[in-house]
Amino acid sequence: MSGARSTTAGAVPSAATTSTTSTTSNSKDSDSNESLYPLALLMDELKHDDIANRVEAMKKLDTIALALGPERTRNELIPFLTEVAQDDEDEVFAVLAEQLGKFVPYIGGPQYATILLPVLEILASAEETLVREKAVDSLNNVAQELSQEQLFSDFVPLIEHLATADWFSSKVSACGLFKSVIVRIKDDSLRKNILALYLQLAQDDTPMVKRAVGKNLPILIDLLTQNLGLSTDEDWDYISNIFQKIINDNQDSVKFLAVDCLISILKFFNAKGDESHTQDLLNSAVKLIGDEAWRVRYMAADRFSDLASQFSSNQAYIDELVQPFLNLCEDNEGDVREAVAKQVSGFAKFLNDPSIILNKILPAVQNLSMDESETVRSALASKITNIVLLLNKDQVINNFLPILLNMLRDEFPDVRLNIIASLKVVNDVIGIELLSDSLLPAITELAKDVNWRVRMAIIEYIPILAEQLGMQFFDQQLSDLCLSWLWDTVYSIREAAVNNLKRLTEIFGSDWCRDEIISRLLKFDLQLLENFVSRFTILSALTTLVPVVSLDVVTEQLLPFISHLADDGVPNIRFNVAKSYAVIVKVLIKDEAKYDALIKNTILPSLQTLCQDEDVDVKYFAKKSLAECQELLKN
Amino acid sequence: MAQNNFDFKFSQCFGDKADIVVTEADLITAVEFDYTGNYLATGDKGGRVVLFERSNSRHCEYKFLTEFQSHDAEFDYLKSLEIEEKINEIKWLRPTQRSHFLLSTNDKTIKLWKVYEKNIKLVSQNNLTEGVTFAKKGKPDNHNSRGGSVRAVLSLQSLKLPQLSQHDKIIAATPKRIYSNAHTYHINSISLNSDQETFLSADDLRINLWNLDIPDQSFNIVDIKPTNMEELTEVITSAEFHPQECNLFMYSSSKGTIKLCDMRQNSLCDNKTKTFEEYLDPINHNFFTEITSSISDIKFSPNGRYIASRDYLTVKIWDVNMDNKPLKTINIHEQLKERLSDTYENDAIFDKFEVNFSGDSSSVMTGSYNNNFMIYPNVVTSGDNDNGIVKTFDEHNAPNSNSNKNIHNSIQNKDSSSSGNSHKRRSNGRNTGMVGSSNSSRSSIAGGEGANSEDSGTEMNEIVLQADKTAFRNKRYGSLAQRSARNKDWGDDIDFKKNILHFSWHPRENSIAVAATNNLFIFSAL
Amino acid sequence: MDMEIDDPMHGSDEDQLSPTLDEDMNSDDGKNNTKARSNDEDTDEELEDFNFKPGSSGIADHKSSKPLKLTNTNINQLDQWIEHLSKCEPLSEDDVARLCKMAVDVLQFEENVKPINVPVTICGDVHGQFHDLLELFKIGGPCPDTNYLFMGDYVDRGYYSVETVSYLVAMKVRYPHRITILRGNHESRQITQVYGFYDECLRKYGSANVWKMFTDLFDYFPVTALVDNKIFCLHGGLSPMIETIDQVRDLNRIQEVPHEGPMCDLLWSDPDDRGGWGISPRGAGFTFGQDISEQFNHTNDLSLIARAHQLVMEGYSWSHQQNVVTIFSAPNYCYRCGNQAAIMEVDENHNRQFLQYDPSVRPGEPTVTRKTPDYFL
Repeated sequence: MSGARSTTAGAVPSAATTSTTSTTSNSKDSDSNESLYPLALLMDELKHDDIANRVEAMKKLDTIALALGPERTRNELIPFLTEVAQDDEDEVFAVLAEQLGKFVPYIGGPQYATILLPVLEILASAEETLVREKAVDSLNNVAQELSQEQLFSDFVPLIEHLATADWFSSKVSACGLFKSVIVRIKDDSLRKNILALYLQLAQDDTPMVKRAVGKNLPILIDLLTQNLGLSTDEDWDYISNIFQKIINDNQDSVKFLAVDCLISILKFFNAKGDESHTQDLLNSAVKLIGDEAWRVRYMAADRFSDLASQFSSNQAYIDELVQPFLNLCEDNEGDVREAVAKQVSGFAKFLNDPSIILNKILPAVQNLSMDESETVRSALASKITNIVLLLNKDQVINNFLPILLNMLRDEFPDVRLNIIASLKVVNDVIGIELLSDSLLPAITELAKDVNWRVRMAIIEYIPILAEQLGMQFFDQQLSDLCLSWLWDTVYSIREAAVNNLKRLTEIFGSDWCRDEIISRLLKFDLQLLENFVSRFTILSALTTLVPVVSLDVVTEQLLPFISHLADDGVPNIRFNVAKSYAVIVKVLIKDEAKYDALIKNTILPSLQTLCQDEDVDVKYFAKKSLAECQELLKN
Repeated sequence: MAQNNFDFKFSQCFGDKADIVVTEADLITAVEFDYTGNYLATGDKGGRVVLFERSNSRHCEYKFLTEFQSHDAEFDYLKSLEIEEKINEIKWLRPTQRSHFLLSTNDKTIKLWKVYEKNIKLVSQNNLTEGVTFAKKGKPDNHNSRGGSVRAVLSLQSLKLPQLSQHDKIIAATPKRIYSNAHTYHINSISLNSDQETFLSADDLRINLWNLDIPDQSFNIVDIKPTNMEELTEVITSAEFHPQECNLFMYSSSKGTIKLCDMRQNSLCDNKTKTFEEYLDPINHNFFTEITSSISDIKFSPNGRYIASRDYLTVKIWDVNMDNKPLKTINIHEQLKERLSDTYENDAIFDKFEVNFSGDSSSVMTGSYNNNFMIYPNVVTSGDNDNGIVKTFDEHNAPNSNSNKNIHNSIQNKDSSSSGNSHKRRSNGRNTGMVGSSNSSRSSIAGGEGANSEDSGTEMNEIVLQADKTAFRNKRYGSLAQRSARNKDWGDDIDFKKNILHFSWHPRENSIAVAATNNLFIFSAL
Repeated sequence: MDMEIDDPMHGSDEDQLSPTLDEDMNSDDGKNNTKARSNDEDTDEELEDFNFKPGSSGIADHKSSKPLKLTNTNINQLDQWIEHLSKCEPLSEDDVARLCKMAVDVLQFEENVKPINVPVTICGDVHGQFHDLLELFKIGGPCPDTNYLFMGDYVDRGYYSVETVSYLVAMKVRYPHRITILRGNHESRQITQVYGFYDECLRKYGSANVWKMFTDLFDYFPVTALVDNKIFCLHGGLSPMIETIDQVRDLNRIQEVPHEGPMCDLLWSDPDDRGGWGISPRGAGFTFGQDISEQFNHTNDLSLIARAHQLVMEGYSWSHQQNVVTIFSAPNYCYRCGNQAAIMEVDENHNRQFLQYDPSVRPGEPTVTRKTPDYFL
């Protein structure tokens, strides 16, 4: 690695744009003065008495390092920063810790990378959590660039030093560093020592350290799973010992981390095809699922299908999980039921025997669908429809459909919305007819909900439903509803209704839109048109449809009505007509030959009159549209 | 330091001694030792926090460390009301290597303070002030206006990193987190969880749970606000986490009950609590009973086995496993029983006295009037029923299997000799209680001739000390017992303004810090 | 509303169960207003000291003789500000100065009684609840497509008074004919020093400059508006010294809100069940009975008086047998009262429709929740 030391740093990141270039020595004094001034200022700012300046300067450490060059960075900047790391404020430490992670190129490349370790070690022992986390990330980044020798000579001792410090902050950081070494250690005995050290941390008396152990253990195990040949049985004695410490800790915030650890351990042994521990691990799983602390039960419930998937190789194990699963469905804590409600379909797919689904799982689903807590019901509604893939058509119709239809009438809007949003899979299995007679009331119910955000949510599902249900069903059942939303009292609903028509036209096509929508829009009685809000809504509906309907629909039906509004009494209508003209010309320009005359003889003159309008806003928007149209016509 | 030596002697007094008029802001409203006992914090009505540091480990001496303004008076223009800056409570976090962290709260806002030694360094040398000027072609803000005239050529090599010279070392205090806008009513307690990650804050009707690192979100785990406020009959007066069990906390109420909640049962702890309540035969209720039975403070014993609760007239010691009656009831100031109407007139009856355990969970202390405070050595008998903390809430639930073994054995070895009575005792907790005979005469406890309480064999002594000028004189003569008795006979002139509400017991030795209006007294048995 | 809490516990004052949450916030203004009045004396001295003197912000020093000309550069700058403010981010101090100078050259030419055409949407107090103002525009439609009339009280009490008043003033300057902003009793130097706008400006800008600019600008806000000569709109209510709308036209409005007199009454008075004129509990303005409002509507050929200034649970409420309507557009006022808000849409035929709405979701505010937060799982 001791190749000729290149004067300039290795791959110097081009991103560091600095006004100074290190090769200015030959230019005139004033120039070098001129260009060095910002750098000099920046270096002084590192110790400005105002913390904000110091933080800003710290963010440009790379600029300073680049300017000083690798040698001065190593000999001057790093010692200076080591000093800063021991005496400044947390905000400065956080930026410093982050910057150092990217510093390897500035100190002359990987062979010097270990110079960064002491200062990062200091930052990794800071009391502020954010500073420690950034220091650990940087240490892990630097570790990637370390050679094996550097790793064992410097990085592992650093971990040991942090892990055996007497304050919790260092030990917490140590836990985050094992992942950079665990798979790079080929020597079994050294890895054993590392795991012994990790076990020692797992027996620490402060909860913060044990939490760090619990959070990082799954990461370490997953790394071992990716390098199956690496770990020895002895390693696994340590790992299982560490796992036992976590699963039996009386601090709930430590114990509930055992669930993720368990899943990682299972993945390892499944990858190795080693079933010898599966029964014990299953017992641990059942123990966690039934723990007295609801937060532990919640964690197990939240990852239930992930957990179950690790036992899916043997149906006997899966069967042993059925009763614990059902217990979770009746847990006294709502959060636990909410978590498990989302896992029903995920777990059921591992049950080969459909009778278990019919006789045990679906009754539990029935109860959950009538749970007193609305959040549980809406959680169930968000995922449950996938269960139909595990049943045949009759079973779905007889056993699941009643529950589904019931949920479509739930008093809590989110439950109905979640069901409607996930109907596709049901439609594919049993067709829409069986659903439609209860689907429609559910939709109309939501369409009338007093909370306008619920009305908004159902409008957004209409295009999805329309696509699923087809034009014929839509025209019979939903088109009146979609038009009625245009007259909602709330502006945002009217706007959503207008966009809905556009999306439907994109699905069903221009002719459908002409016959089913535009014809009805243009035929509205005059009494309605007396109201500014209605005129405004129709104008915006027609304008929104211009780009998605055929040009002759635009010219024969939309343009006449819009032009008619050009001399409306209310300026707001007139300046929106001006805006519509630009939209129309933009579309008509595609067939310029055919519509050139129409544009020049009707649209532009109307725009010109609007430019003379007495209202300043009408004038403004008319001039703007006119300019756009002339621009389009030019090329 | 043997913890069975209770010969408390006056050690120090902080705060100006001029007796004339006490400025309101100087009234001490919170006193708290840290986990090691090496540091002591006080909070006052003016929103200031003053920290003291142990200056001599052999005998108990503290010196001023630093002081900072923790809270300021605010006008909450959202609700148009004044918010006092008075510090209601201080709680220390576990020590870290360099800095000290503590939580302080007033009625509305909790703050996490970091106190650390900060060295002030001055820039002795850097690029721009080194008498180096710059060609200032069109440089608008002449950065260098304050410095040198000599015009030197600046080259890359001459650019240096700032050098610093050590100037001074100060103790700095900065607010690291501010937990605000989460309490409609007045915060009366804050308490840290043993997981060292979360803490609770309690106001009159609600208890919120916070994560120390997340100041903008809190989880309301107890809410006793009735839908119709007219039906309000009970308010929360104090709350505390269990010292070891991360899932247990308790809160006391103005109706004299203590509720123990288990966060493992449910995320919300409104119901399914274990209620500690002593049945009082209504016939001996009087007009004041409702007020005097309101609990002003509750504390877990450091070993987690017992609870001490203080109401206006008594301190009650409860065993965490027995909720139907207290182990002990200690009458604090018997002579006030006839004078309750006076205390009602001058509002003294609403004074909120605290109660504290000794570090070894064997003794308790509390306060009274005329600057008197009482220590009850070894009042917490041990060796009763030996099972550990049983956290059964619903009858059919089996006692907690992994009952906390280490608590159990911590009781065995700390059992101080003088009152060690390991034989089975029939604790009868009836309200004749421990202290003195029931007759109103202030029977002197001196010489331990033993109150004629039914507890055979236990002579319960009560040490009464005075945190005022007399403490200086008494230092030289008179045995503890004589002083103790003399302090107790007030006759009729009770000075209700001189109440001892706030105090703290050193976690590892028999030293105590007592707030007497604007003075902080240190007493120690070392 | 059950907000009044008398403490059944005979707690001594100091541990009084809770602050007595005044049931009816408007009377609250009064009580504190009397406090405000009581400290009027000392604020007078304050006003004497130089930097609090009206006009000291300098925004009106070079006001022009003709209304602001909306050049393209002006329009682009305004559109930029509006885009920035719509994300609830305050403008820089320099931008606020430039905006206020432009606003003076728009507002100084508006009459005391601003004529407005139908259709228009009439709104009440907003009180710095910026996210609820965005909700209002989602209900009523965006400016400029919908015409708006705001009847004062944009600042104080809420967390975002700076962003709210900057946003509405920027809209006014950009679309002067599409939106009208009247003056409320909170658009004044004294009240804003007590109810939070002053503190908010100090917190967000580090100095009182922005507060001085806006309070100087408030002097130029029109006091009333007349919709199609039929609906008389103002923040507070009527004044014993005003019988005809012309008398309002004669007032000199460009001054700090006085402690009494017609201009004060228009911003402070409230309708009341008792007939005739009464002393207002707020300590400023008067209460007026149905006879007064009927007489005023009759003399001035009006169909309605629309005003705000009072919290109403449903967001709007009729009084004096539909001679007067109160509109309040700050939902869950003070983040606590649990009231709905409302706006009134008047169409070309003078049909009136009320739109009620609830508070929007408010990001960034510290939340107390009964739902288990993620940090606990």
